[in-house]
Amino acid sequence: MTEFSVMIMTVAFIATILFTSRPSYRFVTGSVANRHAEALGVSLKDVSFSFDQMVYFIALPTTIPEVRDAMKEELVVEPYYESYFFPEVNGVQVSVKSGSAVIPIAYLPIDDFSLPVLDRHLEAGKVNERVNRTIRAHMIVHERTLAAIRDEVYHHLHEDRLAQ
Amino acid sequence: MVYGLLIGGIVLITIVFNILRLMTTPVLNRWLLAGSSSLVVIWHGVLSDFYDLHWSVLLLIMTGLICFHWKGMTVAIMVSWLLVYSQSGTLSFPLLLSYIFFGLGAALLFGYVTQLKRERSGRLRMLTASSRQLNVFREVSFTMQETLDPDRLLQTILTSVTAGHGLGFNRSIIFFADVEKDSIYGVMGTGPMNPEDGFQIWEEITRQHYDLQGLIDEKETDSTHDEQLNERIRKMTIPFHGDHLFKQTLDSGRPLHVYASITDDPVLRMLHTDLQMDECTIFPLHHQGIPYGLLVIDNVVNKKPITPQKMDSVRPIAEQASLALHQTMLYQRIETLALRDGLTRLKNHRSFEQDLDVLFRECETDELSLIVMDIDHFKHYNDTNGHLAGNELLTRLASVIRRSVPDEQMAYRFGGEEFVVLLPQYDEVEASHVAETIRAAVLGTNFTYGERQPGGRLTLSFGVASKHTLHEQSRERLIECADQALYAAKSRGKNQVCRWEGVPL
Repeated sequence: MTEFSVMIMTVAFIATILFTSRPSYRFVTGSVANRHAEALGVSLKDVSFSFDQMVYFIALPTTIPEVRDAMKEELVVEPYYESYFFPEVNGVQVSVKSGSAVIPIAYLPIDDFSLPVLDRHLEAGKVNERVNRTIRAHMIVHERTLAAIRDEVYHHLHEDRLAQ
Repeated sequence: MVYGLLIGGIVLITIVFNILRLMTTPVLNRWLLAGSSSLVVIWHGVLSDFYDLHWSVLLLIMTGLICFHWKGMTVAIMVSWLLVYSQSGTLSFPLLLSYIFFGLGAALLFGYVTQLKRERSGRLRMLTASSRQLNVFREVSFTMQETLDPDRLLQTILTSVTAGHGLGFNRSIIFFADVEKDSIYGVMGTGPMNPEDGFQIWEEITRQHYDLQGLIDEKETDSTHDEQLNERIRKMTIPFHGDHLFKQTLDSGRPLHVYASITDDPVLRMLHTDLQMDECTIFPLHHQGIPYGLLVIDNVVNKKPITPQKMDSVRPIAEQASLALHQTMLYQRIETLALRDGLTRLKNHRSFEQDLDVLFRECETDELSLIVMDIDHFKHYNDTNGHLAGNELLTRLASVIRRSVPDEQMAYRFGGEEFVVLLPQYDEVEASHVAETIRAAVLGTNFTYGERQPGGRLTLSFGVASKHTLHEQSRERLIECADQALYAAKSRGKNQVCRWEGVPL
């Protein structure tokens, strides 16, 4: 083996971290959240959540053609992470990809993602801030939440257009 | 084969450690990442007889930097250098220097990337806060422009600073200031009395998925959530000219951030005792130097601190609210001037025409009665006592009528010494009872110079007509028939009630 193997080692190590850290984060937060939710007697499938603190970066109704005419499938809803090495979800961002351009539409910070049931347990001291954050993170990156956010944003973009 | 083993081993170690570290605390997470890089270096060394250890330890230096910044990098450099020394038996200072230079280069790059990320996050936070403020401001402006109804306006102001779609505070309360009456009094609030109520309301709102407009509408039609709070705050009255922080806030025109639990201020002590209020901010509502009141916000449920940034986000709403209140009050004043009689403060003839029109249009099948009344010998009263006394009499009489009818909003000055009362859902018999009540109240009142009237007292004559006795269902006909009944009462000796019963009297 030569110095080349050192490069292989470095690339393999960093690439594995970059490609697996976020899926691992989602897997781990999911299992930890489910375990804690079960202990609290809460079903995460049925828990009500609210994304009414979602912030729109564009005026509604908008005149930006790419956004105004975007189909629901063209809305990109994805979790926003700060780091690849130490992934932690900070929110969910919604954008429209038009060619090579990405037009940001809305953002929901995780701190404003409301789960009243969880807040109640936090206030009662049944969960600590770390568990609260983990369950919140699991819920905000959940497919159900992302789909609901997509519906909500699409609805807002088109509802206001009709009201014009 | 060896490369396959190398890559396979690295991937396996990294994945296992990746999962393990994410299940631990943030500090342990960093240690495990550093540990996984050490294992990878060892794995590489095992497969290459540690031939390239002096190169492979660069990974340790990099990981040390990523995990523990400067300190981690310095330790990693020293450990790497000693590892190479232990393996080669040669203490190479040029190698140490190379590691230091590598570390410095990596640190500069890492620092630059971290700085970029920090700036990006900061900008995102600022953009989010500004956009939220703008969104709320836009929706609130729209709602405020749409209404001149004071209750809806107040509800809009309160909801915009509290609800999820608004600025997100847990509770907000509006107090009005009345300088003339030397009073500051609670008007309306939204939010819970305590954290438990707050969670219940919040869960309900979350289930319903209201938007800001929907929430304002919902709160307007169903006030059960805020009933207890409103009941409590409407009992709160504070002297305007007292020595308290409300007055100071109005005088200074600036928001005041205080902790109600640790202050000696009597008003805030009251809010703390009655509403469990602690950290709160008081915003003055004033426009062109006129104090309209105060907006008080707090986070009684989640106890989130009220930061200066959060306070700044409320200020434009409070200023917009002050302007809207100013406009609404001006409108109310103009409306009062246009629809109220300036002397008696009863509704005027124009108002009567409008209300009658609405009642005829909207309640076609419902019963409706009209009383027309006229002061007997009013000309004599004026001629004997002067017009000023006549005006005083009209004012006094208006207050007697106001007190004697089922709904004072349905009593009008028709013109001169003539008054009318509209009675929706009343038939002619019930309406006659109301007329008799007014007549008795007038007789029981001691009017100035009443004894100088013919008969020794002031009296009124009444004509009553009801919709169902009319052959032709029109408002003109209702007035005409009631008028005819009044004339009949006059011609039959005055001081009595006559009703139209479908035939000429």
